[in-house]
Amino acid sequence: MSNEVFATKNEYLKSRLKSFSASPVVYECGKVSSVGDGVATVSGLKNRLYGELLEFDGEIYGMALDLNEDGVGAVLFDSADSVSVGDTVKGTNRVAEIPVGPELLGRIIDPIGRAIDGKALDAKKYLPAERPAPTIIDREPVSKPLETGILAIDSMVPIGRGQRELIIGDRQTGKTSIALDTIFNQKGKDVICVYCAIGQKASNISQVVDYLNKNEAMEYTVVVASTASDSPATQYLAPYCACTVAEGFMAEGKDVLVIYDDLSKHAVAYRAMSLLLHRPPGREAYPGDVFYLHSRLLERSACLSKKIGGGSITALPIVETTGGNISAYIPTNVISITDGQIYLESELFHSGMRPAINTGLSVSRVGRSAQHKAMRKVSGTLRIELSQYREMAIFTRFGSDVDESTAKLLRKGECLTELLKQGKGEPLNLFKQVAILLAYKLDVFENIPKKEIKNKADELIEMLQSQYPDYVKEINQTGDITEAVEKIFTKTMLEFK
Amino acid sequence: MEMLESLGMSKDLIADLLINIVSIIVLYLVVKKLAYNPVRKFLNARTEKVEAAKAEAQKNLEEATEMKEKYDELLKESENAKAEAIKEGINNARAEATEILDSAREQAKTIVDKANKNAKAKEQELIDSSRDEIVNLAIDASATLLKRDFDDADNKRLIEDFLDSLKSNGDIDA
Amino acid sequence: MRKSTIIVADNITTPTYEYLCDELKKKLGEDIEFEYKIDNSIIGGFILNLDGIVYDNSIKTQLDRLKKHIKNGDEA
Repeated sequence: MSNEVFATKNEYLKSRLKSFSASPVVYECGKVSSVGDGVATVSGLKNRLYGELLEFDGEIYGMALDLNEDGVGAVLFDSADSVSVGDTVKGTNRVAEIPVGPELLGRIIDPIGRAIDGKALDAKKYLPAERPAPTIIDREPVSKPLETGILAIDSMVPIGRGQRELIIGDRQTGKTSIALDTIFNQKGKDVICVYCAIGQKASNISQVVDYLNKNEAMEYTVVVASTASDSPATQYLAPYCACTVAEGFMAEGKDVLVIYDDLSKHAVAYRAMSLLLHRPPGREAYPGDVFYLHSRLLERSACLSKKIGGGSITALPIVETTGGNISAYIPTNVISITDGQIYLESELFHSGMRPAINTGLSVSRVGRSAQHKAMRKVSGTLRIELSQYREMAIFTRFGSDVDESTAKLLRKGECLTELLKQGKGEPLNLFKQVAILLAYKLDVFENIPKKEIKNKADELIEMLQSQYPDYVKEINQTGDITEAVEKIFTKTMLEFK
Repeated sequence: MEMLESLGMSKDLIADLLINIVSIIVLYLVVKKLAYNPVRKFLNARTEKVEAAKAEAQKNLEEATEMKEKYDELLKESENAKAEAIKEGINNARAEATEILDSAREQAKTIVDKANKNAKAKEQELIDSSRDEIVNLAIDASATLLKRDFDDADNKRLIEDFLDSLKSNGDIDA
Repeated sequence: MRKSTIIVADNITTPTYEYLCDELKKKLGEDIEFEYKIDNSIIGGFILNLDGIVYDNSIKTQLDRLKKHIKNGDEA
């Protein structure tokens, strides 16, 4: 077999030799006039494109971000120690590019397009990192749900394919866990996932990859990773590269989920770059175009119309706040760009409510049109009941006696809060979620102590699964629960009670 | 009496005889009362005891035989149950073994497939790298040759080509 | 006065070099001052550096391009 391969390779080489044509090599050339802090000032390059890749001596690349009449300011990727004053700089007529295609699935790449998981990457197609967003005509409204497997989200803050939903909260509130569980829940749902780590610790990234591997989620996931030790330029490029990878799949009509973890570090890297390029600082020292930084990234997530293939990119950007302050600069920016936010509170987290979602402040502007019909039927009043419960709970802290209807409200609210708690890595499929909410609606858990509610719910689900496996399948496949099935379930649940 | 006298016995003799006979009879009666009866009673009692003991022994023997039979039966039953359990255990073990073998076979197949893939990839890598080496060598060889062969006329030709393609504003006609 | 550097190998003769300079001056303007550097690693041809633009007509560069082309490396 090898001999044949060699023979064909020889012919291939000969044909390559024949197809060569000596063409003139012309490039613009400049000289490094100053270098420091990862930024090199180059004199002489007058006709470069914005964001063009420049090649320094020793095959070091930088990006031209500051175009002046007599020179260019470039941010360097990789180690800037080997660039010295007087080095020649070539223009390459290329902007930052990243490989796209199915060979990326299961791989970890850096924003420059190199594989960092130890194996070689055979990339066939490259696309630029910065690309225009889909036009208005090319889009259609979001209609298909993206199931996260997390009951609290899928019932009250539902996400649709093509939506941008921000996950915002303080540190250590479970933001990344929600994102990873959403990836984990896409198994078998024909959704490709891209996880973009921006400026994360390498140990965190390796933990994430480990988690994805353990849950067999890597086979449909691409990881674009820039660690905290990468240059600001690399961190700045990372989310755009991740979006390009996603667009590569979207162009083939696929649904893609992209997670940007996290955009706060992205803004910080951009701020570092801009300050080093002597751009004037604005609020909180961020440059003036930090809104545009994120808006052009998130605009590329869309739901394409069926006429051009019907793919979609759903974006779950993550923003970290300090002290729960969602009125800071970057959080308000990103909130106004996205189609809703999932707000995680550390108080809820530490009091045992996990996922620590504040359902009052969390919103999904796409809302119920992105929910399965079955879910719509059972989740209508949840938000109202929860908010009423929260209000009442404040009053009862003063130990006052309550009348029967208020007591019922409080009890139901407590029950719902218990039901919404979910462990990490334990996604619930549509049937389980609908069953739990239906049981809650019928007040099946009326006389069960708080600690037992979760176990009871699990028992109920197991019983339904063993008694009516066909209905379970039907619900999971069609997304709807017929009246007949609802009646049967109602009867069974009331008996179970 | 006269008969006895005719036998030559005197009256005293007959009286002694009579007294002896009477005393024997009395002795016999006394002994019977005092000795024979208790002794007989004692002997009878002992015979009864022996009989009773014999009967009990017989009863015990019968009980023991019965129990032994029962135990034998139980033993047989337990032997059967043991055999059943062993059979079941063997079947289960067999089934498990088949399962384990199957899964091991599958795993082995996956490993072999992966190894094959890796081997193919390595082969491709080797081919690629050796191809690169060959190309490098070939080009370097031609470079060395060119160094010796390239002369001024060749330079002139290059210059002419370049000048032809050069436009007045510094652009190149490719 | 525009300055320009031409890198040549030592298999070029002075008349040829001066011919090049004159023709360039004719095409691109009389106000160019040419300077030459000898670098034999280019094997032959010349590399002209003018107004910040490099016109690379060296044999070495073409050989390098041939290498990359055969290896089917960068199609850029």
